[in-house]
Formats: sequence, structure tokens, C-alpha cells
Amino acid sequence: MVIPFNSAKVQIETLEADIELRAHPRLHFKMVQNYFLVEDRVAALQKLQSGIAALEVDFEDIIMSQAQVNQQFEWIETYQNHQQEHLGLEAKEKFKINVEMLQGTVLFDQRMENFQRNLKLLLRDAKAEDVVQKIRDLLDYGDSFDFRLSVLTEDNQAHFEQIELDFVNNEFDNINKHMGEVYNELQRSEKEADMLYTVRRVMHLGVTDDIEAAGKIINNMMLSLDKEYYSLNTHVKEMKDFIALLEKLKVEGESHLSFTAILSDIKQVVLMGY
Amino acid sequence: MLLQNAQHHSISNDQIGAKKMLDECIDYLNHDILAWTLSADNVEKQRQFLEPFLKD
Repeated sequence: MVIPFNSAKVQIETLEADIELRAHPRLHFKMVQNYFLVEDRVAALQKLQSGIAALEVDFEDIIMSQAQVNQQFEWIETYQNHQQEHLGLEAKEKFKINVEMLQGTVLFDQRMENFQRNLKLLLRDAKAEDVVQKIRDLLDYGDSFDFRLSVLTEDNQAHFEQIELDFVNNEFDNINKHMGEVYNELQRSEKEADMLYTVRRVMHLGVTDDIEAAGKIINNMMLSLDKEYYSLNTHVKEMKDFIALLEKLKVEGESHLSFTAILSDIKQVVLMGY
Repeated sequence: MLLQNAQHHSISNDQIGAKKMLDECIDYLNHDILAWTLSADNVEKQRQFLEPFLKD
């Protein structure tokens, strides 16, 4: 669904009127105070009644604006949901047109800047409920992190006990293997803790309303995750290549001379990559 | 260490022992691949969790 230009214009006028209406009740009540000061109770009562009426109009107008904003959110959510389901070409296109329309209207007239500014403010207000839900999600996620970290800690403890046992029994190859497992588990613990820290920091910033800083932290975490994802996949690819070389060694290293020659090549490859 | 052991078996003309060592090495690497793949999946899940928060 796209906002027609005329509809956008009406929205701007409504919002401008809304700003004026917000100022009016304050003027009314200021005058009510003045009438009370000069003891003109009849005039004060009249102003009080008109002030309340202005507030009611203001309230209705805010609700209308809120409904428009909620509609915007529905479009955005539809777009996001469809995008997640990989069915979103149509929704994506609509959203794009919607954004372009808004951008176009903003460029059309200086008054549109007010519209955009007010819309942003309203968007932020309208998000309150959404933000509460997100914070709840973050809390749940934090709890699940705590649980996973405790499981990892228990796993590590078990690995260390096994290493001690291997050491007593002189099982040095097993020690090597279990040390590798512990190393991997510790790395996972560290990453989980890192993520948990990020989530909690974002929560804190969300509560203190420093949305910009929270956004920066999330962005940095995303970049770090992207880098890590790439690095992990590179490791996996290198190891698969390494295994392919070892398989080759199994087939072609029949004599100890060919075995040593291929092994030497492998060592070169390993030194350069893995 | 496993590769050195494999080489030692090969030099001693114990090809079966060498292959056994190589298989152990491959198992070890496959275990690492599994661990790294699980980590990558986890990273992807974390990313998917954070992504909606950047839509603002």
C-alpha cells in the first residue's frame, strides 16, 4: 500500500494543526490562571471548558496520527516477514515505493520537513510497545545465554577431569584431543559471553533511551559476527582441503619415499594456510 | 604429532599403521570441522537475532 500524495498532504496539515492545538490548551490554561488571579471566575470557567475541548480534539488527533504511524509499521513488518520467508519481492517493492513516496514528498515542500520530523517523533513514540517486547526478547535471550554458559562450563569441567585421568594413565594422544575440545569449548564460552555482554549493554542503553549508542553497538556486533562467520567458514574450507590432501596421501603414499614427498608438500601447504 | 607418527610407520614399511594414523588425523580434523561448523551456525543465529534491531 502506498501513501497517495494528497493523503500525505492531508497528513502534514493535520500534523501542523496538531502542533497548534498542542499550544492552544496551554494558552487556555494560562488565561484560566490569570482569570483566577483577577477573581473573574465566570471567564475562568469558560476558558477552562474550551481548554478541555481543545485537549479532546488534540487527543483525537494524536490517536489519528498514531493510527497512521501504526499503518506504517504494519507495512514495515509485512515487508520484514515476507523478506524472512523469501517471498517478499512484492512486499519489498511496495515498501520501496512507500519510502520513495515519502522521500519525494519531503523534497517537494519545506513544510514536508515538519511532516518528516513529526513522523519520526511519532514513530519513536509508537515504538514504545514494540521496544518493550524487544527488551523482553533480549531478557529471554540473556537468560538462555546464562543457561548455555553454565552448560558449557560443566562440559569444560568434565573435559578437564578427563584430561587429568588421561595424564595419570599416560594417554598423551587423548590429552591432546581433549585439550583441543576444551580450547574449542572455551572459545565458544568466550563468544557467548561477548554476545551476552552486548545484549545487556544494548538493554541498558535501551532503558536509558540512548537508542543511537545502542544502534552503534548492535552494528559493531553485527560486523564482528560477519567477520567471525567468514573466518569460521574459511577454517572449515582449509580443513576440508587438508583432509583431501591426507586422503591423497593414503592412496598415493604407498612407499615411504612417496609418503615423505607428499607429506613434505602437505607441510608446505599447512604452513602457508592452516 | 599424528602425522609424524604416520611418517614413522611409513618409514618402517608399516603402511597399514601409517594409514591408521592418517585416519585418526582425518577423524580429528573432521571433529574440528564439526566444531567450527556448529560455531558458524551459532554465529549465524546470533546475527539473525540481532538483525531486526537494525531495521530502525
